[in-house]
Parts: sequence; structure tokens; C-alpha cells
Amino acid sequence: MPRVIVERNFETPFTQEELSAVEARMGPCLDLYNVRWIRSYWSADRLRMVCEYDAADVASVRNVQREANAKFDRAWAADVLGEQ
Amino acid sequence: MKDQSPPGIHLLGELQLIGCDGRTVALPASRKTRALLGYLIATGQPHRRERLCDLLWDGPDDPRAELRWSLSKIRAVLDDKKGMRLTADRNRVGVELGNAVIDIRRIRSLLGDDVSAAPIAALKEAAALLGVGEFLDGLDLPLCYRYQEWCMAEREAVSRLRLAVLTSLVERLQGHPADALAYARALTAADPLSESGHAAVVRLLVREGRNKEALGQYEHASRVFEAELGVRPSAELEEARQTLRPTASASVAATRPARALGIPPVPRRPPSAAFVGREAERALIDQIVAMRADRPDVMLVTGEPGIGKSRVLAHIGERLTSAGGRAFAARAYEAEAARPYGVWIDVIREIVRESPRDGLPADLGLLLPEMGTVAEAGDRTRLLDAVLGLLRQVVSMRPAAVILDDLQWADEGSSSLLHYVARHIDSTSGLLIVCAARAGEIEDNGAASRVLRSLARDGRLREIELAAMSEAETVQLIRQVDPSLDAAQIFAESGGNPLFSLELARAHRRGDPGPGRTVEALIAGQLAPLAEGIRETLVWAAAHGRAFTPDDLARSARLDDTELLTALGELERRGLIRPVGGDAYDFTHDLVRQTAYRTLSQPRRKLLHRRIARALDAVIGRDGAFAADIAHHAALAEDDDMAAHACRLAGERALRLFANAEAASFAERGLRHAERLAEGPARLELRIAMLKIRLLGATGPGLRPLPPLADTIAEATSDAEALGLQTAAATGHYLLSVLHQEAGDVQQAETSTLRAAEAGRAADDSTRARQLANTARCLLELETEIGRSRALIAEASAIAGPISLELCELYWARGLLERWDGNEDHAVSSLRRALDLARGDKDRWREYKCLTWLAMLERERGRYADMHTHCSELETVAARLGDDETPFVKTLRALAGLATGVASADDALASALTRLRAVDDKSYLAYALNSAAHLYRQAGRTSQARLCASEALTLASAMRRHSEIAIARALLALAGETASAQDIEAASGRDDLSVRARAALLALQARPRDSNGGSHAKPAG
Repeated sequence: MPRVIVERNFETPFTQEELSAVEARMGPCLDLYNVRWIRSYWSADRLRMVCEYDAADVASVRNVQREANAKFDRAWAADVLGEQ
Repeated sequence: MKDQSPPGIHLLGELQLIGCDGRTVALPASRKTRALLGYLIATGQPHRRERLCDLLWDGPDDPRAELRWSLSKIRAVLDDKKGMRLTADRNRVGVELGNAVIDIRRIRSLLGDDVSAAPIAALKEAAALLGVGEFLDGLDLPLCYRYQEWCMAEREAVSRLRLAVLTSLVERLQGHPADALAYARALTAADPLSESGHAAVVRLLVREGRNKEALGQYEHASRVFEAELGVRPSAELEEARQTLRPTASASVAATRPARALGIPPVPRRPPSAAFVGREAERALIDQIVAMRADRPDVMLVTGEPGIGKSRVLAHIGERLTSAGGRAFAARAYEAEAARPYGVWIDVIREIVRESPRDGLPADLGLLLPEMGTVAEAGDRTRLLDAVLGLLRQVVSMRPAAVILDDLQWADEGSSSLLHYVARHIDSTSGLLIVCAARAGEIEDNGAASRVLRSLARDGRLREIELAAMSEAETVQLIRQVDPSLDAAQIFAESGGNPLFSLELARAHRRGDPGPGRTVEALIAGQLAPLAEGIRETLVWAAAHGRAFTPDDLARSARLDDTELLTALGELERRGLIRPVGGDAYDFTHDLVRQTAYRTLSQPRRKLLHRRIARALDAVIGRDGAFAADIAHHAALAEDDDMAAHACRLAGERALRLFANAEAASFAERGLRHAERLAEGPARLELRIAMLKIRLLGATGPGLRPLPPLADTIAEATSDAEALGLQTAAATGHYLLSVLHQEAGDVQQAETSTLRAAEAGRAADDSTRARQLANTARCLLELETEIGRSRALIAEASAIAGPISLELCELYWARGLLERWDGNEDHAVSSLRRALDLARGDKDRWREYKCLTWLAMLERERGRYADMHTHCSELETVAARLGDDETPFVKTLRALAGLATGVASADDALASALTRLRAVDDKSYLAYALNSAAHLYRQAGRTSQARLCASEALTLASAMRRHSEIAIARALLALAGETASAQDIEAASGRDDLSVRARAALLALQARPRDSNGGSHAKPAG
């Protein structure tokens, strides 16, 4: 399945508690929309985050974010370079 | 006689009245009385008695009697002084001040309306007056929240004025860098986060050629900003640093102030000086300890601050211990005057720590959460009995004393427990209760003074009133410090107050003599030479307001461990703090704590309290054991959000401990904090939770009249219903039922109870219906498991209907199902309702989605004008969503153009589809391509139809959209593509196809078949 990247920026550092809450809300939506979370990168200052998903299209990932009320700035389909 | 000089009044720093004779007037010991006097002077106008009662005595006692008592004390102070008089009639109270010079008025007259235009001499005089201290310093009454808010607002105003005056002086004294530097330093002391202040200090130090100090200041400021705000130095500060000439030694390590070094040597104070004087009291104590005297149940030691009460308490403990008994001591703290059973909890913790015992009553777990036992729901008597049982266990082996110091600050629960224990354990059992309280200030604590009066009436209390020491005793005391000092002179100055005498003796030893000083000024003199790191530790400890551990300080102050331990060692060596068991420390006297705290400016105090509150918040337990502390510090930090939440937790905990008065007090404070939060569901939920605590705190064994809250609760309940906050609404109805019940209105109570039950069920039901509808809607969006969606919608409707629950998700799901079934009119009306609800909730995404479906439906129905209206609305909402959600809108418009024969429709569609591909929305793309293929086929443009349907088939297959797959296959077949019979059959055979898909398949079946049973190309039209 195509890889989809979601970029997030936060005005104040995003806390572990907030992250857990979003994850809990997102869980059921991921299954329904047939989206698989791969991994996330979280900046040391907790102000930026990049998440990787497998999904049939970008819109499915976008919908999951909206359903779970997860803040994001951009979502885009990506080709993976350098991975085995 | 200096009869001619006008009287003076200092509202800045400690409240002071200076009579016409130039002498400072002794003010009443009661803090509330001094606060009342300060209020009357500062406001400068008469006030109604009710207002003053609300301000300072908003409690269960007789407020008007309390006010009369305070006014009698004020009258005694003012009437002697020429030109200052109390004016009071049946309704109003005020003060006439004649020609008295009031510092704050003097400052305002010096400055005029515009600080920047004031003459420099006036600014300097104002700065000196403002530098004396904070407004009504030391007259904080956190439990009288109306007074406290007024006082904090006045302090803020003074603080702003101080910063404006100092800023103006720094700017205008540029030609006199040495002068300007002093004011710039004062500015950074007054506001440690003043970037311009720090920048000015750096610039001025550079101008004075003091580069090393300038760099030190820059680094200090950077550390402050990093620690407090998490930001780097501002451009202004960086610019100031740029003015530094680079020097070889300008490295951080070289310029960092050697914090713990360079402290002038101070002789270590003896840990506990020998007990001097008090012969009569000691003889009595010896008799009581030896059980020879008629032993009272409770002993009370009273006297003014510094008179030696704590020393007498310690002596009793020592005597009892040397006689084979045990002593457990704790003190109440002003900062904890609302912590339920605070002083008793510390005593019980002491007992448990000294001899951990199995089988402690489970009810004690309410007081000591660390026990980890969860008590069953009980009542107040069980809790009090648990404490009684523990004490009986303690004295069954050896006699023991429970020592409670500073009772004037005890919470109401502690006073009740004192009464309970004193009444149930008599002295023959071997338990002696010893308390100490400040004379005068104990009157401010209604609950404690009631308990003491009641015990005295019953003959259970023996009071030892400590008077000033005699000259001979004072001389003996001074000799312990230094035999060479002039003890007679010190006695004359101190009037026989031992703390004052000792501080004077130490000042003389430091070579710092001088007449006319107060004990506070002497303590301040001791603090002045402390090195920066040590003073920092001291002020953080002072802001904590109670005994503290190094961990407490490290958590909030973020001090380095080594520095912290060095500083604590040094403070102990100087006799400012002392270890008090475990790893905790306390100030040797609360006056030391107060003096250290008063060196802090108002902005700095807020900063410290904010950090302490946050540090506590991070470790808060489920039981809210720290919540009272957090509420205290957050309120002083003016952090309403944190204070409101902490008041709620503290109030709930107080209710669990049956400390109803404290619970009601937390609720009142919490409501005030909540009022200042932004409107919304969170504030409303807090408000209802607080009203619940307030009401339940007034019910039960307290037998106080219920507060008139019916209207407030009814209003909050109806707001909660309007916002769909069913749990909060259920609580509101329940509270109303309690109120009606108490008022004897059975019918109203029944109605409220039923409504509470309904709302309670509705809360659970509402959550469940919402979840069911959400899942159904999601499945319909994805065009999968339609049968399950249908069942889910039915279930959600069955729950939502009876409780009149209006859910956007449910209407949305119904709309999608009706479209699926081909009931277009119903689908439109359901989606319109869903749209209204989404707009009511300000839920942009749901608004966007509902509008998209409505636009699609109107296009499918051929109502293009309605479709365009929805598309315009969609464009507005998409812009607010801040996301690129418009390509599908453009596609819908282009499809409408194609259907109505607009000339440029082809180009518009191609461009819209390109954008839709770019945003990678395969589901909408498949729908749009199928729609386009259908229109092209109708127009006889078969090859275009084929291209579109072919792409739609690929995309729909990738997304597993079975209806779109069936439509694409049918269109391809109709457009002449050879399709296998198997594919068509597979498509037709599914039972979860939409009406649109079935219509496409029907159109295919209606056309002639070839002999092979398959479809083949037959160009339409």
C-alpha cells in the first residue's frame, strides 16, 4: 500500500498525555479506514511531529485525523527511498 | 512636644501608623482587624457593615459581632491620635484621617497622571517610597477570598506603578550611569522577567567598565529566561551583550558567580540553647508531667510572637520523654489553614513513622493516603474514632503528649478533632495535649477559639500565658550568646521578648547596633549578607509556606543538588532553619519565613508560586492530597485554571474527610476562579462540580443553613442541558432535589430526582448512542457492511429517541443510508439536520462533510442551483478548515457544467480531476469519474466515457468500493468494452449495492445481449 506522511506542528509542546489521548481516539478509526500506522518522529522540543502510515489513499489518512480530532498541517503520499 | 507634625500611614510594606508624636502606633494583634483597618484607610470611604462582614467574616459565625469586636480594637488605636478617627453608625463604617500623610497617596501626587513626565526628584522620592515593600505586606487572608482579591489587585497596581517609575528613572538617568544602574538593578529585583531591566543593567555595567559583572548579569538573565519561560534571551538583551568588548576571560566558567563561596564566617548557633527563666511555668510543667498536679486534659501556651511558646512546648516534650514517655509534635501553617486535619495528619504520621504498627484502622487511610488502605464509606465519627483508637493504643504502653503549635492557623477539622479527642480521652489515660497559639491572632480563628473556650468552660483546659522576660532572665539569655554584650541595653530595647533580645544580641555581635529597630528588621539584617545561591534557597523555602524537604525545593526551584545541600547546611548553621524529622526542615521561627518572603517583589512571588504549584501538580495523587497546597499556590500565582481544578479536587477530598467547612470554602474559592475562565463546557462542568461541593459541604452534621443556591444551580443545570452535558445536568438536578428536600418541598424534590435519574441515564445513553451512530456513519461513508450500519442506526435511534437526544452523527448516518436506499428527499432532510447540529457544535469538519454529501445529492437529483449554493458554502468552510479540501467542490461544479452543456465544462472537469488526483482522494475520484462517464455516455461521447469508467474501476477496486466497481463495470460494458459475464454477475450478485449501482446494472441488463451471454461494445446514441 502507498505510504502517507502526516506533518504536525504544535504551538506549545505536545505532551505525552495529549499524545496518548489522540492515539486512543485514532485506534478504531485506523481499522475502519483500513489505515496502518508505521511509525512517528517526535522532535525533542515536542513542537513538531511526522507520522508515517500505510493507506490506500491520502484521503483515508486525512479522514482518520479528522475523525480522531488530531491536529495536522499536511498529509501527502510519499515514495520511500533507501529502504530495503 | 512634636504635636504639630501630621500623622503618617504606611500602606506599603507592613501597615504602620505613626502618630503626631512621631511614634509608631501599636496595632491590634488580630490580623483580620489590621486588614480591616488597612482596607478602610486604602479605600478612603465609608462602607456598609454587610460589605465588611462579607469581606472578612463570610462564615458560619456571627459576622456582625466579629466586626464589632474588630472595630472596638480599631477605635482604641485611632481615637487617641489627633486627626484620625473611626466613624461608625448602625449601617456604615469609615475612617477620618484628617491631614495624615498616606504613602500611596503621596506617591500618586508626586507622579501626577503621567509617570514619564514627572520630575526626576519626584520619581526618585516615589521610587524610595515604593521600594519599602508590597501593599499591606503580611496581611494576606487567603481564606477571605473577597478581601484577598482586592488586596492582590491593589498589589498588582502598585507593582505596575513601581515598574513604570523605575523604567522611567533608568531611561532618564542615562547621563548618570551609576545612579541609573542602581534603579536598573531595582527594576530586575522587582520584576525578574523584565528583559529591558536586565538589558539596562548589562549596558550600564559595560559603560562603567565592569565587563565581567556585565557578562555575569547577561548569563544570569539568560538562565532566568530559560528556566522560567523556556526562551532564549531577547534581541534587546543580546544587543546589550554585544556592547561588551571581548576579553580573554569572558567564559561562562570564569564569570559564573562563585555561589557558595565568599560567605563571611558566621559562628554556628548552638542547636538548642539552655532554657532560661520561666521558673514558675517550668515548675508547673514538672508537676503535670510527674502527674502530681491536677492534670488538665489540654494545656494551652499563649503569648505574642517570639515570646518563647515553641520553646516551652519543646521543653514539655523533653520533660515527658526523659520521664519515659513520648512526644509527637506538629505545627499548623498559615499557608495550610484550609488543609483538612492538617496538623493532626502530621502528628499521626509522626506516630506511625516512629512505631509502624500493623492493624491500623482502615479509616486512617483517609488521612494518610500512603497507607494504601481504602476505607469503606463511613462517617465523620468513624474517622474521629480511628484517630482516638490510635492515640489510645499509643498511651496504653507509655504516657504521651500530642503537641500542636501555632493553633491560630489550624483548619476547622483540626479544631473539631482536638475537641473530640480532648472530650474522649481524659488525662488519667496518660495522654496530654499541649497547644500553643499567638495571643490576639487566635481570635481570628473562629473554630479554634470556640473549641478552646468550650474546653475552658468544661474545666479541661489549663492556660499558660507567657509574659515578657524579666531583666535578670534577659541578661542570662544574652550571656549565652556573648557575655561581653550590654545586656541591660538590649533588655531596654527588646522589652523582654526573648526572640527580639537574641536577634539584638546577634546584631551587636555582628557589629550592627542601632536603636529603633523591630525584630523583623533585625532578621532582615541577618538575611542581607547571604550569598545569592543561599538566599535563593531561602526564598524558595519561604514561598513553600510550611516544612519542606530538599526534594520539594529541587522539584520547584530546579536547584542543583550540591548547591542545594550546601545552602541548606549554611542556613542551618546560621540558625535560620532547623531539621524537624525525616529529611524535612522548617524555619526556626515563622518570623524568619515571613521576613524572607517579604524580600520578594510581587511579580517574583507569583513566579515562585506558579512553579511550586506546577511542581506539585506534576506529582498530584489520585486522592488529591496535595490539592489544597496547589490551590493555595495557584491562587497566589493568579493561575485561575489550575486553582479552580485544584479547589475542586481539594473540596472533594475535604468532603471525603467530612471536613465540610473546608469543602465549602474550597468550593467558594473554586467558583471565583472558574468565573474568570473562558466560557464553555469545561467551565460549566467545573462550576456544577463546585456547586455540588458547596451544597454538600453545607449539609450533614454541620447543621448550617443551606446557602441560597437554587437559582444558580438551576441556571447552570439548564446551561448544561443546552450544551448536551448530560452528566453535569444530572448532577445539577440531583443538587436541586437536595435543596428542595431540605426546604420540605417534596413534590419539587421528587421532580428533580426523576429528572436527575433521567439525565443520569441520558449521560450513559448519550455516550452509547453517539458511539453507535459514529460507527454506522463511518461504515456508510466507506460503503461497507451496510446491513450492520442499518442495525446500528436502529439501535442508536432507539436510545436517542426517548431522551430527545439530537446527534449530528445519527442524522448524518440516516442521511447516508437513505441515499443508499434511494430515498433522496429524506436523505436531504436528514443531512440538513445533521448540518445544523454540526454548525451548532461549531464542528467544522462535520459541517464540511455534511455539506459535501448535500452537494452530491443535489447534483444526483439534478438540482444544480442548490448544488452550487452548497458548493459556495463548502468553499468557505474549507478555507476555515485550513486544509486543501476544495478539489472535489470544483469537480462537482464541473460535473454540473457538463450536465447542463456549459462550453468550457470539459476543461474545467479535466483540471478539477487533475487536482483531485494530486490530493490522492481515490474514493471521490472514482465517484466523480463514474459520474463523468455516465454524462459522456449520455452525450454519446463513448471513448471519453470509457476512459473515465476505466480509471474509476481501477480506483474503486483499490478502495474496495463495491458499488462504484459495479457502476464502472456497467458503464464500461455500456460503452462497448467487452466485459466477462462472470464480472457482471459477480457485481450484480452482491447484496450490498447502492440504488445507484443497481440502477446502472439494470440499465446494462435492459440492453440486448449477444449469443455468448456476454456484453459487447455497442456505442450508445
